[in-house]
Amino acid sequence: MLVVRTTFARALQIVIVGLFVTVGTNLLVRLVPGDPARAILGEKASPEVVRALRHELGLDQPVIQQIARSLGRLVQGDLGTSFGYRGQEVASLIGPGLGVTAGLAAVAIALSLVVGVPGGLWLALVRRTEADLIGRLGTTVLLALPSFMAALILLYFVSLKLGLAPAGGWAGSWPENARYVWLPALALTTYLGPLIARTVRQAALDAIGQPFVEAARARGVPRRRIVACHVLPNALLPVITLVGFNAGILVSGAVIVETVFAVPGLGSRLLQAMSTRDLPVMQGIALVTAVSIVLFNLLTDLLNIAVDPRIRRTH
Amino acid sequence: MSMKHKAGVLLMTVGALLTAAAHGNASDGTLRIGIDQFPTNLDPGQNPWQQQQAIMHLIAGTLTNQEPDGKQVTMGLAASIEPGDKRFVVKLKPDLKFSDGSALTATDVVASFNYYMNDKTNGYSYTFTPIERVIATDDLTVEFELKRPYPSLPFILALPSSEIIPSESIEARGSKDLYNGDHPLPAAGPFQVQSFGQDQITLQRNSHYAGTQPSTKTVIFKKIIDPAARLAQVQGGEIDWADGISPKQVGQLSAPVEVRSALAINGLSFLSLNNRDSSLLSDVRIRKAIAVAINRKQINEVVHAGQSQPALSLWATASRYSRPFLSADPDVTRAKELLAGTKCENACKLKLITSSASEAGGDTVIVVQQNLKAIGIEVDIVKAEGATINEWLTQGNFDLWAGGSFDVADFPDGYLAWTVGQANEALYSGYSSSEMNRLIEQVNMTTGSERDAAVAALNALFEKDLPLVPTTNIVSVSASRVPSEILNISPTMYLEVR
Repeated sequence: MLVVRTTFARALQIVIVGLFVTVGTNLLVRLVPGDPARAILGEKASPEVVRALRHELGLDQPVIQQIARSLGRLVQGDLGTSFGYRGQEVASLIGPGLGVTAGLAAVAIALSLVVGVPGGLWLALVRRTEADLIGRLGTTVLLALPSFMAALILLYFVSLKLGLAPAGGWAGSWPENARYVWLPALALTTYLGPLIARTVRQAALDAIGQPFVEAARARGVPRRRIVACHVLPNALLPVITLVGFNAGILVSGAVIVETVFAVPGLGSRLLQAMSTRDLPVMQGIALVTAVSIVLFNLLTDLLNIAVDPRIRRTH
Repeated sequence: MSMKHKAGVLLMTVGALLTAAAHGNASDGTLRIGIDQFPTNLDPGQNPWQQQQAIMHLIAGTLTNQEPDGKQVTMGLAASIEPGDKRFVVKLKPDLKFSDGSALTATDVVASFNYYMNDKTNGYSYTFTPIERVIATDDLTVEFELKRPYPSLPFILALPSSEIIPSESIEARGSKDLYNGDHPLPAAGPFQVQSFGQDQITLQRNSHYAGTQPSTKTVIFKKIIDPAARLAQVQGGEIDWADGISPKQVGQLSAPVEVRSALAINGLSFLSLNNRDSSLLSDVRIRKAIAVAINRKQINEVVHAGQSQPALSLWATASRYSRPFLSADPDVTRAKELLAGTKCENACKLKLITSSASEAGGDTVIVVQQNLKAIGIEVDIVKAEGATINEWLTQGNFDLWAGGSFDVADFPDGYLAWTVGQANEALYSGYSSSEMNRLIEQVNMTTGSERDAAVAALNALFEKDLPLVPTTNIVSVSASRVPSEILNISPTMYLEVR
């Protein structure tokens, strides 16, 4: 019942988010200056030609009519057609980019978990030592480092100086992408990894102080077993929520990191769409991103329900 | 298998994946070029930006070909062109073929130009305006009937926007589907489109090309938006050519990567001045004071790392029409004399706009701000992204704009229209002069000594009215790891792939 209720609530959220994003992007794009037709045709095209293209793109219709048309299409699951890529469906344009960004984000999350969980656990186990102090300082520095800066530093040292990774690009298919994805993913990890490490450390310290851990220790359960069976599961619970609710930050970080490493994800699509005022594509990307984040949150909720008996009990 | 063993195998597999790169390079006939501006479709009439045109140039089969120096054209698909006052007769080479092997005849030429002339959304429509009609008199002969003398027509015929496309495709596809990147049209240029994506465009050598076959088999354009990322990739060997890098980054290049640069044959970077009554710059004395106060040498050094040249006339330094009258150095005393009796005599404030995406624009405005401070003019710099800047320019919501304009060859028609003519009210400056328009018409319609005289009069009028302030020549700086004989950039701003 809880699962159904949560899913329904998130589905409703998707509808509301879709409505707001569609109306919001339509209005916002029209509030900021910039004519899509002029952006496509360039500064040398005559005003008559620009007018003709505006008419062809439907930009000479009243704003309300344009928004209503967008919403009408959206109800039918149609994101519309691009202004720049004439005649091409927005979904077909942003689909591949979404896949790339999702792949990058997934690798970044996996790397963050691989680094952050054991790291955080270890810091908890060596609490109040020099190693703990240095570790916490390191995570603070990394959290303060903007992802684009981390990307540039990695690009310079790992790629250009050490030659351990390509300086950017994308193979286009897996597993060849592995060669290209790990460095940008590492750049994103510099934010999420330390965040996970700090959260796991704190949660592990809380768990270590709990009576059931004391009891296990008193029963003579080996330390490794206590950590694996009692501390780790409790330390992991907040990580699920943490990752879920940082999806948005991860996506916005990916936009920047993709630009530095020339990864053809949603970031480059969005930049191009913004520079050419390709409203349907901008709207499509905003919508897909927003819905993805809501879906990610739904997944987080469901995972929490599945792994945390306390949530099931309280409902 | 033990855990250690498994881990070892896993590491080796990952290592193999990481090193198994699908490398292309110049030695296997593949060139990988990093650029930031991709065409959004294959319509040359809707891809006006320099890098978009550079790609179109490699695909387009045109009646004439632009020589790399930008000063003349040679025969392309045409065997000969017989110019006339109001009629050009074009003879096609025999046995021409599109990349799919189908025959290219006069019917295709006529169909192509009819399509362009009737396309209301073609950004190059102004190039077809003087053409009355195009007719085929036989399979190999086409006649261009003109509304007025059009001596620049051979240059126009070399533009990618005049590419010859199959008449069958024009008939079979609607205008919306004609340039669909998923189904590229057969081409008659040196390359054909193999695949067209948002992030990668692959061109394949066209074995049916009528001209000299390039030695390069494949050209891969990769979209890399950030110039620093382009530079990193060419240095790291991921690409062979990084187009449009910052001149200030030239010092970072190390062997085998070398700098390649070219000055545009036709066009300049300049300050477009708002000549409208709403701006202080409607007063020609203030415009002239600004022109005198600008330190063009400093702009060249600071903005272009010395790779460009100061612009001393309306035209590019290498243009045959250039008649220098400005100085590369500033003259503050003279500028202050010019300001006497104007609203800027004691002090005034001007709004200078520039694109936030343009590093050159951003640096130029800083120098200009310093230069004008010396004569008591305070400059408010306002940066915005390109589309917003275009809007402000159209509305006249600016005093100065750090911009520029160029054309791919040394013919005057388009360049004059955009800078001092009526098109777009002279690049948004609002400048409008019937005398200037008359001279432009004269320049565009004459040749030889008649044209020289008209250009001289036009240059004199420009010096008198000074609707915009030339700063430097337009320079394109790229980084390359392949010999210039294989890939280079020319004064046309096209990429020359051999």
